[in-house]
Amino acid sequence: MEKKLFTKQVSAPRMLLLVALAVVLLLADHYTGVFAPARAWLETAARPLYWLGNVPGEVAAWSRANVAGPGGLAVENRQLQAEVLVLKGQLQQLAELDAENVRLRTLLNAQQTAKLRPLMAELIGVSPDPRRHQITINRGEHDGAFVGQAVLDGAGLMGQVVQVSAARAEVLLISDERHAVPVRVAGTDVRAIAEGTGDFRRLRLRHVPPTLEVAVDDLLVTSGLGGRFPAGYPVGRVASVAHDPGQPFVEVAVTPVAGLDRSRHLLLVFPEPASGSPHGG
Amino acid sequence: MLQVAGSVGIALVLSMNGVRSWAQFLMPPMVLLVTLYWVLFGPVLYGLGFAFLVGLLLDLMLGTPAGEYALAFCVTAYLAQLLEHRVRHFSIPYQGLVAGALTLAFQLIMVAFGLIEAGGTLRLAQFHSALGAMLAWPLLVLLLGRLHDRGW
Repeated sequence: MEKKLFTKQVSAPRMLLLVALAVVLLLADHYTGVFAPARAWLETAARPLYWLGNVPGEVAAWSRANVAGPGGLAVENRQLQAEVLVLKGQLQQLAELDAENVRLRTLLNAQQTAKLRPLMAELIGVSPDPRRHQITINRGEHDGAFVGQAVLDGAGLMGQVVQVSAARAEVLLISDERHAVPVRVAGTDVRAIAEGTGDFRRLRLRHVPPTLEVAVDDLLVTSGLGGRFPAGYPVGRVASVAHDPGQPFVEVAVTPVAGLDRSRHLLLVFPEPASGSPHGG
Repeated sequence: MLQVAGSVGIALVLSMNGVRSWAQFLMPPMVLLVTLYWVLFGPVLYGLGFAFLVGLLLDLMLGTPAGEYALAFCVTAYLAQLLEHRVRHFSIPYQGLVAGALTLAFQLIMVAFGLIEAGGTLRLAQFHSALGAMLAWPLLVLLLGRLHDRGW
């Protein structure tokens, strides 16, 4: 068999045999988890490759941080201090709102919203397949990461963890064509589903009736429905609303607020109290 | 053997650090090109079976359904083998055109998988990597050719 498969002689039957084998593998992988151990083993074996692939990005980040010169660093430091001051001010206001929210919910006898704890993660790899908007981060089972966990950047929702191994996790971005997230319009609370389009700068709302109150520049946040994503995280802003009179639904294009094709530093969100013990990073 | 494993490994590393923007579509599929080089110019051992195994390795590493890349690599390698005798006599820029055409065939298979899997949309940008492959091929032949001359 080996002699027949590993030779350069042009042979259509041999090609067809391998194609049939590929189809069998596809079916086996789809209906059974037969390749899971092989994938886990390869993940460990390929760790140096991921590390090497990440070197140019690390070098670029290092040079941005260190080659700027003292003047540049001083300016950046001043900007960061100003930003921290603004954020601290907003946090004080948020603490007051949080306390008020708890009081009101107690009065209404409503369930308290879950507290969330973030864990910082770094991007270490990107899927080479342009059709798959999938990235790899440096947090895995050891850090408490789990499948279905929400991933954010500084601006909004990035995606969710779809595969976890010991020291890293695969994150499916919200722009991937296979991804959909339940959202609501901040302010009006209108609900919809935002799905990926395969374009980093565009999502679309699915099945939006023309009567729905959605306008350009509306902010969409996660609705928390479905239980996968925590509620209230920004997803995107409505870029355009187009209604073809012949169609039953409105075409709503959304621009994601997260830097899906740029962000290197991300946050994994843990519900608190977490079942594991993720340590802050 | 070492040269082949090393070149496939380097191609994997280059692929993993892909840019994430519209420019990503221009990135040549380096692992495919390296595989095609060894299928066309390598020793007898590196034929369809070799292409299949590299594709399967890629499937397992990237989390794609096992057999997807394996099938696409195998069919593309078969097409390359059909052209092998002619390609050997082509000048390197002409070989680049053939590499672009083979990448186009590979992308067609992958796009078909994408449509079956997710009902995704077909975009012209998905075929831009053929242009990247045409441009990358001369450099690849130069580098791997030197490696090849030293090794065998």
